Amino acid sequence: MSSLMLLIPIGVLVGASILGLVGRGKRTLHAVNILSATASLLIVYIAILGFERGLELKLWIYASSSVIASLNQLIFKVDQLSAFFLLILGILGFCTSLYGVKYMERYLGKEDLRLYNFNYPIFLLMMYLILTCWNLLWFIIFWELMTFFSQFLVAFERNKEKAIRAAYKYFCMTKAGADFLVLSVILIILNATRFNANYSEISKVLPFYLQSNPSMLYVLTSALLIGFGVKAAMVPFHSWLPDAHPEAPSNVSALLSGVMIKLPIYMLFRFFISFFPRNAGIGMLIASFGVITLFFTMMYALIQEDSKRLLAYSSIDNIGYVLLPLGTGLYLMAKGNQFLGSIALMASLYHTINHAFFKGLLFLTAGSVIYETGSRDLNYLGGLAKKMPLTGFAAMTASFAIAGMPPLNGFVSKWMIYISTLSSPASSLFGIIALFISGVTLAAFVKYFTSIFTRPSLEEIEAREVPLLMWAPQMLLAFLCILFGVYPRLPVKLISGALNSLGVQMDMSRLVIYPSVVIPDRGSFSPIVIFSFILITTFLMLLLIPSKGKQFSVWKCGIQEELNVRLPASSYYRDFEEEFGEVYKIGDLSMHILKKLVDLGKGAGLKFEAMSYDLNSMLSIAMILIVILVAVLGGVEL
Amino acid sequence: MNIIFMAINLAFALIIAPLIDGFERKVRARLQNRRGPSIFQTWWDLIKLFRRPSIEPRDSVKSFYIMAPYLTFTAILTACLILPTLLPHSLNFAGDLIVVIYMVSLATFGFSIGAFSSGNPYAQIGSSRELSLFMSEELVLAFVVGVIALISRSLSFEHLFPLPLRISSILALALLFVIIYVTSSRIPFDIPEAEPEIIEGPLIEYSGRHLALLLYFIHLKRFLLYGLFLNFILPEKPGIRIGGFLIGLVILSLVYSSLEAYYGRFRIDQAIRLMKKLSFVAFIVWIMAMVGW
Amino acid sequence: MILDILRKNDAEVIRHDERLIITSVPNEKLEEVAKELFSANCYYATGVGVDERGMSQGFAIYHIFNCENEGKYIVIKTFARNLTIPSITPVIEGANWAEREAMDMIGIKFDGHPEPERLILPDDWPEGLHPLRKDFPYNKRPPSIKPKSRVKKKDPNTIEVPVGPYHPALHEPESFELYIKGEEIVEAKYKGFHVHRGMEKLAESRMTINQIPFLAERICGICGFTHSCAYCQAVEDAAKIDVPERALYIRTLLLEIERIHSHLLWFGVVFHLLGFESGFMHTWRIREDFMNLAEILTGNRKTYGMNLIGGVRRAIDESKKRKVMRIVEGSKRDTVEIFDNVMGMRELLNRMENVGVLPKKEARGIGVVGPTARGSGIDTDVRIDHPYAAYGELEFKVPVYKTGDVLSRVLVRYEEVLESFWIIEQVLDQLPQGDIINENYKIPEFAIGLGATEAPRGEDVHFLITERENKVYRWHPRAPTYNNLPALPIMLVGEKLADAPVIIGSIDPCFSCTDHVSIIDAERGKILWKGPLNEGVRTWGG
Repeated sequence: MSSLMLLIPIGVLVGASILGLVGRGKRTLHAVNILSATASLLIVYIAILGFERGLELKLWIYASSSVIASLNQLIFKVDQLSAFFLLILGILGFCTSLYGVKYMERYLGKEDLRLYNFNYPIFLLMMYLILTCWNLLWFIIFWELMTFFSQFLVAFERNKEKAIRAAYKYFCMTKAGADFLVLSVILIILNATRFNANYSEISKVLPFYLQSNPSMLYVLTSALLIGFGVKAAMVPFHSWLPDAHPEAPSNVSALLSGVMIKLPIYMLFRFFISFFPRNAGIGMLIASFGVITLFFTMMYALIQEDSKRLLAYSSIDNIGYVLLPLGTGLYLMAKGNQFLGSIALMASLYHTINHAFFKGLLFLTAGSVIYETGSRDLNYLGGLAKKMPLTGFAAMTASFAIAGMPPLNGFVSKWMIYISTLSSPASSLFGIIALFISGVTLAAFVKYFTSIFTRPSLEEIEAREVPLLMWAPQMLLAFLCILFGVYPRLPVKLISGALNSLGVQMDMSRLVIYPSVVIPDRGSFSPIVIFSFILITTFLMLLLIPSKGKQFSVWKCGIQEELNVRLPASSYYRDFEEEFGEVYKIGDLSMHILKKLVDLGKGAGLKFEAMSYDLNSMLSIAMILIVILVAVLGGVEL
Repeated sequence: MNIIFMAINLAFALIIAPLIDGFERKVRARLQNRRGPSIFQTWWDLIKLFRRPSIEPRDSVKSFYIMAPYLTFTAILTACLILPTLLPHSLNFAGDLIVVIYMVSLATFGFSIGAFSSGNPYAQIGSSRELSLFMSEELVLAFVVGVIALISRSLSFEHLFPLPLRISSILALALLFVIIYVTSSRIPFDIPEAEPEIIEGPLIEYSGRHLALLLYFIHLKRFLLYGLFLNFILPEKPGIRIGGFLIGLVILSLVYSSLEAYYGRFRIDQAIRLMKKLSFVAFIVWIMAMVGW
Repeated sequence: MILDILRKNDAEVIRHDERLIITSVPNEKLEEVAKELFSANCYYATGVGVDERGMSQGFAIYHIFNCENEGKYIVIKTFARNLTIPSITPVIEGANWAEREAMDMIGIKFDGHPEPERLILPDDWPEGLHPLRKDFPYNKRPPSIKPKSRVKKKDPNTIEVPVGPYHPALHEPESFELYIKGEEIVEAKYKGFHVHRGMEKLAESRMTINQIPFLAERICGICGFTHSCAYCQAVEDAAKIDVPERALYIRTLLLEIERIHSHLLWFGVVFHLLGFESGFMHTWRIREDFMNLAEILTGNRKTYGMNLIGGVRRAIDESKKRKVMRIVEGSKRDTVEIFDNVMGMRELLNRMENVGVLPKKEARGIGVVGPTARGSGIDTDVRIDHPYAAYGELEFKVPVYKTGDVLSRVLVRYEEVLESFWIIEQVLDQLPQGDIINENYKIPEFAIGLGATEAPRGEDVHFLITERENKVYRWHPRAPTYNNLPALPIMLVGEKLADAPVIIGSIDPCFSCTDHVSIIDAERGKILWKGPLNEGVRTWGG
C-alpha cells in the first residue's frame, strides 16, 4: 500500500501543471505553487519512508520481449541513496514553491505566467521521476524531458534576448551531453546486460563485464563524464550555467542550482560505485576535473558584478567540491583504503546536501532583493540589511555557511574533504588547492553579502522586508544550515545509509560523530562545543560590555558635503585580480579555443548542408556512417 | 584537572597577549633611537579604551557593525581554547589544525563585515585590501598545511606537535614563519591598517569598547600564531615545554619587531606579488615532502 | 631681447636696472606680451592685484615673470578698465591661481579665464565683499551665507575618497577629493586655503614697515627666515638700501641652516608616509642637532628673529664657529650613512620610482619651482639666477634630475643638503668683519620693490609697494608651494591611492606658506583670531 505513495506526487504535479494551463491570474499561480509545495512535502515523506524501509513499485506497460522490452517495465524504487536525493528535492522544492507564491507575482501582467505554471510542476515531476526510476532507458527519457521542460523556465522572461539565448545554449549543450548518455546506455544494454536496463541487473553484471573489457570501461567513462559533466557544469562543459541560472526566475534558479545539477552526481554515484568496478585511474580523473572546476570558477566568481552570476559561478565551484572527494574516494577505495575512501564519499554527499541548502538560500535572498528593488547590479545595491533584516540575516548565515565557517554546515563537509584529501599523497595537491579556494570563497561572499546588504548604496533605495511566504522558506533553509553544522549526526546517519545501499560500508565503529567528530589519527572537531562556546561567550560579552553609545556621522575627514563614499563592487579586490591575472588569461584562452571549435563545427555544418543538395555525396556519406555505426555499436557480434 | 590546565592556558593567553605587544613596541623604539613606552602601555591603552563609550556612525548598518567586534573576539578566543599554548592541554577534541585555521578565517570574516557596515570609505578600501592579502597568503598557507599533513599523515594535534624533523618540515616551518609575519599585520604588510594612507582602514569608525575588542583581537591573533609555530617545535614534556614556550615567545617577538623596524610599508600589489612568488617556493617544498625529504 | 618685446607692444618702462624691469602695458597688449615673454623662456612667477585707488587710478594687476636667462625679473602692470582685465591663463597655465586670487581679494574680473571660481574665500563668504580693497576694514566680520550646493553626477564605478582637511598624512589642513576606481585615482580635486590668517591685510593696516619682518617670519614654521629675508630684500630694493657684507653672510648662513633643517624634516615625513618609521626617527634625530645649532647662533631653535631692514640684529662671534663646524661634520656623516642604507632598500625605492611623474613641459607651463622643478629637469635656482645675500660670491652646485618622479625629488633634496653643508663651511671661512646693520635709510613713498629667495621649497617672491609714514601699501608674499600645488592633480591621476600621500608629500607642501591671505574659518564661519600679533601665530611642530 505504501508503495503506491510513490504515485501520489506524480498525480499532484500533473494536476498542478494542467491547472497551470488554465488561468493566467494570481489565483492559478498560487494554486500551482501550493500544489507543488504539497507535492514536495510528500516527496520528503517518501524520502523518510525510503530511509526506513525502502519502497518499490512495479508498473507494467505492456508485455513484449524485444529490444524495447526493457522499456516495458517501469519500476519505481526508492533505496537510501535515492531517498537522500529525494530529501534534497523535497525540502528545496517545498521552499521554492512557497517562495514562488509571492515571488512570481512580480511577473503578473508582464509575462504570460502560464509558461511558468505549466513547466514548473513538470520540472519537479521530472526530477522526482529521475530519482525514483530504476531503469536506465526510462531514466534517459525522463532526463531528456527534464531538460526540455526546464529550458522554458530559463527562458521565462522571453522578451529579453539574453534569456532566450541562455535557454537555447542550455538546451543545446545539455542535449548534446545527453546524446553521449544515450550512447553509453545503449552500449551497456547491448553488450553487457542483454537489453535489461534494470539497475539491479546492471549492478550485478556490469562490473565483471567491464573488468574483462577495460577498453569499454574507458569509453563508457568518457561518455558518462561528458554527458553528466555537461549537466553538472563541470569544467570545461560549464559555460551554459553562468548564463542560464541568472536569467531564470530566482526560485527556479534555486532549484536549478540546488537540485538539478546534483542529479548527475546521483547518477555518477550509482554508476561509478555500483555499476563499475573499482578503478584508481578513473577516481583520479574525476578528482582532477573537480579541482580544475573549483579553481577556475571561483576566481571568476570573484570578479562578477551581477549578484546571480556570482552565485552561478559559485555553484559550479561547489560542484567541483563535490566531484573532488568523489574521485578521491573512488581512488582510495580502489587502492584498498576503505575507511578513508568512505569518508571521502561521505564528504561528497554531505557537501551535496549542504550546497543545496545554502546555495538555494542564497538564490532566494538574491530573489528577495530583486523582488523589492528590481536590481541585480552589485554596483548599485547596498545597505539593504536595514530595510530587509530577515533576508539580511538569512544571507549572512548562507554566506558564512558557504565560506565554510564553523560551526555551520559548510565547515563539516569541507573538513571531511580536507581530512580525506590531505592525508594521502596522491590527492594532497588537490586538497591544497581546495583550501586556497576556500579562502577565495570567503572573499567572494563577503563581496556578495556586503555589496547588497551592508555597505552604503549609490542612491537611496526604497525597499521593505519581503512577505512571510518569502522569508519563511529562507529562515527554514538557514535553520537547516545551522542544524546540519551543529548536529552532524543526523546527516551522517542518512549518508551512511545511502552509501550502504551502494555497497560501501561505513565503519561506524571507527568514525565517531557525537559529541565530536573524530576520525582517529587524522583529525577531530566538536561542532557542539564550538557553537555553544561562541554563542555563550558572545552573549556574555554583549551583556558585560554593552555598547550603548552616542551616534555621530561617518568620519569623512571633515568634509561637510555629500560624498559618494561607497566602494563599488567592481573595485573589490582589484589588486588580487590583477596580480592573479594569469588565471583569467588561461580561462579566457580556453573559452576562446572552445568558441573556435564551435565555430568550426558551425562551419562544417553549413558546408554539410550545402553538400546535402548533392545526392551522390549524401549517399556515400550515409554508407560510411552506417559502416562506422555498425562497427562501433555492435562489434562483430550483433 | 584538565579543565584547570585549560583555564590556565586561556588566562595566560589573555594576559600575555598585550604584554607581548608592549615588549615589541619597546624593542622597536630602542632600534629607532627612542626610549619607547613601558611594557604595560598596551594594557593601559586597552583598559582606557574599555572604559570609554563607543560611538556609532549614524548611517551604518548598526546590527552588523556592533556584532562584528564580539564575533571576531569570540572566534579568536575559541581558537585559543583549542590550541595548546603554555601547557600542552587544550580542548583539542574540539578541533584540529583545520579548525584553528578556520577560526582565524572566521575572525577575519567578522572583521570585514563590521568594516563594510560602517559606511566609511576608508574602512571599505581597507577591508578590500585585507581580504586580497588574506587570499594570497591562504595560498601559501594551504601549501604549508598540505606539507605538514603529508609529513605527519594527520591533521590532529597529537600527531603534529612536535613535527618530525625533516628537510621539508624545516622549510615548511620557515614558510610558516613568514606567513605568521604577514598575517599579524606588521609593516611591511600592515596595508589594511595603514595609518598615513587610509587612516587605520577597517578600524576607523570603531571607538571605545569596540575598538578595545578589535585591538585585543589583533594581539590575541598574534599570540595564537606564535603559539601555533612554537607548538610545532617544542616537545611534549611539560617541564621543558613551559620554559621553551616562554623563551620562544621572547625570541619570536624580538625577531618580528626588529624586522618590523627595518622595513617600509608595501603597496598592496607588491605584497600580493611577493605572496605569489612565495607560493612557488611553497610548491617546491611540497614536492620535496612528496618525494619524502 | 626683452626690451624689444616690450617696446613692440607700447610698454612704458617705469624702472629698469640690472635686476628688475617694471613696465606698464595697455590692456589690449597684455596677452601678446605674456605669450612672447613665455616663449622667450621667462616663466610666470606670480600675479598681484592692487587696489590703487589711493595711488593713481583704479585697480591694477602686476604680473611678475622670472627670466633666468637674463637674470632679471620682469613686472608687467596693467590697469583695469571697468574692473576688467583680459586673462592670460589661456596662454600661461601658471597664471590661473594668481588671477583667481585677485578676483577674490580685489574684485577684478578676468576676461577669458577658464575657471573663474573662488580660490581663497570660503564657500559661505558673501558675494561682492573683497577683503583686500582699501575700504574694507581688517576687523570687519561679514555674516555667513548658505553656500551653493554642487550637484554632482554619481559614477557607479568610482568611490570618492576624501583626503583632508583632517587626515593623518597631512600635517596641515587641506582638502583633496580623490575619485578612485579599484586602487587607481581617476580624478583629483584640490581645495585649499584652510589656513588663512590675513597677514597681508594685517601688514597693510596695522603694522609698520620694520615690524613686518617678524610677521613674515611667522608665515611658516619651517621656512620663516626665508620669508623675512625676501621681505627685507624687497624693501631694500624699493628704497635702494645697501646692506653691509657681514649681514649678508650671516643671512646666508642662517638660510642654509634653515634649508638643511627643512629638508631633514621632509625626509622624515616621507619615510613616515612610506611606513618606514625607523628612517623617520633617525633623520629627525639629526635635525635635532640643527635646532640646537640654531639656538647657539641666534638664541631660538626656530623662528630666529634675526632680520631687520638693512641687516641683522645679532652678530655671530668667532668662538661659535668651531662648534658649528663640529655639528656640521657629525651631521654630514650621519646623513650620508642613513642615505646609503636607504638607497639599498629595494622596497622603498620601488615605492618611489616612477611614481607621481611630472613631465617637464607641464612643469614649465604651470611654473613649478624648487626641487619639484629640478626633479623634472628644469634647471632653475634663485641663488644662481638672481643672486642675493652672499650667494654671488660662493661656489656651489645645483642638482637637477630628469625623471620627474618622487625618487628624483628625493635625490635632488639629498644633494642639496650635501651642498648646504659645503656652503656653510665656505660662509664660516669667509665671514667678513664690519657692521651688521645699516640704519641710514629713508623709505620713499609708493616705491615698488621685489625680493626673491630660494626657500627650501623653491622660489619665494615678495612684492612690495611702500607708503608714507613708514607703512606698506601692498605686500604680497608668494610662497613656492603656491606654484607647486596646481601640479598635484597631474601627478596624482593614474597613480594608486596608496601612493597619494607620498606624492602629495613629495612636493613638500607648506600650506601655511600658501594660505596666508585672509581671515577665514570656513566651516564654522567665525574669525580665527583678532587681537595681539602673537595670537595669529601658527606654530609648526619644531
